[in-house]
This record gives sequence, structure tokens and C-alpha cells, in this order.
Amino acid sequence: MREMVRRFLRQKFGNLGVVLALVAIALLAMIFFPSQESGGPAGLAVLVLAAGSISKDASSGALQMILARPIRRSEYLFGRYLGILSAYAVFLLFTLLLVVTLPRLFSLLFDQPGPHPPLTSLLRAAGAAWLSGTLVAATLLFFSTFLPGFGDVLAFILVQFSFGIGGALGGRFPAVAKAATIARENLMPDVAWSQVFRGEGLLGEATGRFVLALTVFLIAATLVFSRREFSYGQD
Amino acid sequence: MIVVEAVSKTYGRFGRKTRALDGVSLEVRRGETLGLIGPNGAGKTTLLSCLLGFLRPESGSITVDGRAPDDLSVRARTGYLPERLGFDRDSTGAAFLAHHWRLSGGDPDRAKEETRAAAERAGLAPEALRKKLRTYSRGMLQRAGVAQAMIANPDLLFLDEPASGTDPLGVAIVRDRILEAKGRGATIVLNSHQLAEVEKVCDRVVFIDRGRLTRTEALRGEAATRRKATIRVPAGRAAAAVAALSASGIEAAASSDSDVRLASGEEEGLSRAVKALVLADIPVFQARSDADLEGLFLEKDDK
Amino acid sequence: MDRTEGLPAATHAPVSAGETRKGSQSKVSPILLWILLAAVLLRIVTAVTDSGKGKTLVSWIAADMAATAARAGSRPILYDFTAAWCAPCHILDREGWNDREIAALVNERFVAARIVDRQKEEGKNTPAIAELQRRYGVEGFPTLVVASADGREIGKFTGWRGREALAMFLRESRAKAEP
Repeated sequence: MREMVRRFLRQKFGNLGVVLALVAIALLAMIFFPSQESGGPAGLAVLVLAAGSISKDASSGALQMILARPIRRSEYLFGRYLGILSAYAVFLLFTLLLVVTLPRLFSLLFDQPGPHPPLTSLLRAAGAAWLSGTLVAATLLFFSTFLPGFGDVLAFILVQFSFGIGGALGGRFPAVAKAATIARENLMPDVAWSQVFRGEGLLGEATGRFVLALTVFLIAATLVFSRREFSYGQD
Repeated sequence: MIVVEAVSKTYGRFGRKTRALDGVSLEVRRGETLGLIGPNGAGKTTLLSCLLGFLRPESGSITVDGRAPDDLSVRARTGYLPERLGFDRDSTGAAFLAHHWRLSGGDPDRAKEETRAAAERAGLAPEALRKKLRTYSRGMLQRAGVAQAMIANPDLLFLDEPASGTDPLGVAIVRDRILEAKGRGATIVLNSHQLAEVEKVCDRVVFIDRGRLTRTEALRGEAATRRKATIRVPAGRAAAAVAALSASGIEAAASSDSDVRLASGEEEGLSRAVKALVLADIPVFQARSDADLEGLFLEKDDK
Repeated sequence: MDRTEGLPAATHAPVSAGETRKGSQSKVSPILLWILLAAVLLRIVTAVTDSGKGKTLVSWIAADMAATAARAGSRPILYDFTAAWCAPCHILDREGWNDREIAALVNERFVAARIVDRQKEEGKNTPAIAELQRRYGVEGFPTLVVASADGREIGKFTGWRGREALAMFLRESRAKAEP
């Protein structure tokens, strides 16, 4: 499984396009850091890293070559997942570096003592972003096990969209709003991580929902992927 | 070693179902090299995918050494070269091969040397290993694929069109690697359109057409069904050679001004023919006895 | 003829002959089932232990969706400005929002959103919450604000003054919001 993680990291960080996109997102995120709870633009990084991960391997034939080795399907899957999380962590550390150094550099150069948020709150924000990212990545991974191309990203966006619509319809159709809220709270719950880090909401209901959602997506992905068949057209 | 029993596989959705495999049964003995031949779309790649456990037949069964085709112990001994080569374009050749070496359970400390050895045996120059796969030509990618398949010294090989898109040197290298694996006692299943190559390496050949296994022919050993014997003589002497042979009671015909084809392909007939020609003072440059696959293939097509 | 004469012969046996793994590649470890069970258990446990705080009969909507929902349903928004440490807020929850009639009134005639103040715990609120508190002049808890979908304040009610007072405030605000 470690092999799969290394491969993933090599795949992503070896690709100039991906690296440039991540740097751009990091700069963008730097502006909003740390006031956004779940990382805001940083979440985009997860999309960039996780998009179409499995479907691309399957359609290119690389997956078949790998699965011909003594590796379990679940190892392949979790290897990719851990790869996404590791890469995301690297991205967040890089963003943190930018947030810590660039403003101070500007202050030095232009003699402007700006407010510099303390390191601990920055670390907490990064931690919150990473934890939220684990669920987004799990969701994308799950969709990627059966949707081709970038269908996983599309499905993710569609789901978020439908939550929004469900909520908006809430005025006229309260049942729909209720359903949308329940769906959103259980499928993609928002956890106030800053509270959790303080030890407050550690056994809060939101945490329970989050852990369950994460588990369900990962296990569903494993089940789907383990049963999947791989063929390709030409004979 | 590999037992396929009455395997059927259908693709497609409610409207357009295609029966890719229909009641295919075959057996591959340990150490045997089997060739899969047939027209495009006949089901060969589907069969190969089933043998590898990537597809599950809806009826029938496949076992490899008594186990499921995707059993991990089977995987540990398998080398696979797919028809469509999908690589991580940004990986270097060395990283790719080392990755597969480690995936197959190889000692990570030996990764570098095994990678170089496998690349060399597949005809990939060491300098090429340092370059990214996206810079590789089709021929180089094929060689990388061969190297990947062979790197863990598999005793079970599945090759899907291994010589497609390669230059003649590449074709020869693949042939050598197959024969080498064969010498080690490996069991090999080969899917190829290149009949000449199949003739040279396979012990047995099965014909697959429209999802059915229509015929199986042995190419070597006592069970060999059809062979052709050809003798090469100096240019222009073919007619004289034919005359000399018929004088000795051996039926033959000239297929060009320097090639003579014997009516009977058996090997001891060939040595008698050579003797007859030598006695008639006609130089023999080459005498070969090959499996006549093209003949079988075309004959089958006529049916 | 071997084009590769002179190369080290590949004679060693298949790589992992020593430690062969067994079992199908596609097998899913039953451990996953236990993990799922554990997650479900955790979910139930957290739901139970957390239910003390703030479970009511009223269907609260997320604050950022309130405006859209109000517009779509032609209803006014009811903001409940509350805080975790505020005792009267807990009484409001127990005897106001858990009262069947009041909850029905709120669910049917308003779009209800709960705004939890985090100043004591975290030093400051999110910009969104701070803005809402500023807009409606919220200084103590609980404070109820009824507003139109475009943010205009229709009515305000502070503290816990008993069930009847709350019901009357809600009905009056609803009436005022009509035109």
C-alpha cells in the first residue's frame, strides 16, 4: 500500500500542471486563511488532487497492469486515499508557510505592521481544513469508483447544488428543506473543528455524523471497487 | 494449470447485448505456451481478461492452479502485458519499473539493479530509463511494457499483442524473452495477430471466432498437426531441385526460383530430401520445418 | 539466437515465492464491517449524549439559507440569537421551542434560524454572525428577531417572559409581516 501512496505523490507532484494549480490555490487560500472554518478555497485543492483518480487509471489501462500484481483492491483504493490526504497535507503546510512568511515579508519591506495571527490559530485552521478535506476526498473517491472521467467531481458539485436547492425550496416545501438539511447534515456534515480542538465537541453529534459519513463513503467505495469488472473494447 | 470450463460472457445493456464468449472451454498445461488466434472482435481479449480475473464470466468457471484467477498467490507469479499500454506519463522509466518490482513483492534494496536488468533484457537503453515515459516512442513504450511484465520472473505470462507497434528488433526481443521464460518452465498465454511469431513460440494454438473456440491445433511434439518443410537452394536451381527430389520419390514444388516446398512437412522427410539434393550436387542453404499456421488460418476462413 | 547474450541470465524464481499471500484480490476484509459498526455506535452515542443541548420541535434552518428560503416561501425569518452558557436560553428551548403549539406556529409561519454566539468561548464570532448581531442590535441572550426576507426588522423580543408572551410576540410579528 505504501507503494500506491508513493505512486500517487509522484503522479501529482511530478505533473507541472497540477503543481501550478496547487500553488495558485495556495495563494488564493492564503488570503482567506484562517478565518474560514473549513478552509474555503483550500477545499479546491482536494478537488484538484482527487479528481478522476481511479477512472483515469482504469481507462488508460494502468489499473489493469497494477491489479495484475499481488495487491488487494482495497490496498489500491486506500493507497490512493492516503495519497490524496498526504498530498493535501503537503499543500496545507505550503499554504501555511505562505501565510506565515509573505505578510511578514511585506511588513518588513513596506514598513507596515499588519496584524499577524498567532501560529496556533493558523495551525488549528490548517488542521480543520485537513479534516474537512478527508470527507471531501472520501466522497470523491467513492464516486470515482464507478463514474468515468471527471464524473466524480461533477457528482460532488451536483450533490452540493441539490442541498442548496433543497434549502431554498424550504420556504414553500418544508418537507423538502427538512430532507435536504438531513441529507446535508449526514452526508457532508460541517463540523466546528475549532470547538473539537478545544475538546468541546469531541463527542458532539456533529463529530459522530462526520465519522459515520466518512466511514460509509470509504466502505462503499471499497465494496464497489472490489466488485468492479474491467474490460476494454478492442479485441 | 489453467482450466477454463464452459465460460460465457455477455456485455452490454438492455438493448445491445453482445455475447463476447460462448461456452469456451480449454486447458493450458503447466509449461505450455498457448496462442490465441482469431479475427478482431472474436473475444480473445475478453478471454484474456477473464483469465486474469478482470472480468467475471456469467457461467462456467476458470481456475488457475486450482485457485481463483485473481488469487494473490497467482498474482505473485503473473506477468501481464496489456494491449493498451497506459502509463503514468510523468514517471521515469526507472521509477515505473521499480514501482512494479516492489508491487510484486520484490526486495526494495534490489529494485535498482533489477530494473536495469529487466530494461536491458527488454531492449531499453539505460539512458532511456532516466527519461519520463511521456518522451518514449511507441516502440520504447512496448519495451517498457515487456520489461514490466518480466521483471518479477513470472512463471505465468499473459501477453496481449506483445509485438504490436514494434520494430523488427523489438519483435525479436519479445520472442527471445518468451522463449527464455519457456525455458524456465513458464506457462504462457499469448494473444497475437502475428502468425509468424506465434508459429515460432507456441506449442498449441486455439482459434476463437465470434466468442467460440472453433479449433485447436498442436504445433509441436508428436501431436503436431501440420507442418511445412521448405528448402532454400541457390537462385534459379529450384526447378532442378524439384526434379532431383521427385527422382528420389519425394514430392515437392518450387515456391520461388530458390525455394522448394515439400508436400509432406514431417521432419524426417526433410532430412531425406536434403540428402537427396546433396547427392544430386545441389547446394542446400537452408532447410526448415515450421508449423503452417497461415495455412490453418486461411483454411479455417474458407469454411 | 539470443540477442541478449552476455546479460545476467534471469534464472531466479518468481519473486515472492517465500511469503505467498493468499486469497482473492477482490476480497473485502471483514474488519471493515466492524469499523462500520463502530461508526454507527459512535453516531448513536454522540446523538444521545448531545441531545441535552438544544434539541427542539422547531425545524431550524441554516442561517445562510434563511433569506432564500424566506423569499421562496413568502415568510418572515425568525432569528433565535442564543448562547451555550445562557440559562434563560435553555428555558426558552425547553418550554418555548419544545411546546407543541408554539413549535407548530413557528414551523408553519416562519423560517426559523438559530444563531449561536461564540464570543465567550472563542473570543469572537464569525463575520456573518457578528454582522447579524450588529444589524439587529443584539446585546443579550436570548434575543428573538423577526425580519423580512430582505433583512428589514419587523419585531424584537428579549429574554424569557413565559409561554404566553412568546406566543403573542410570534402572532403579532406574523401579522405585521403580512403585507
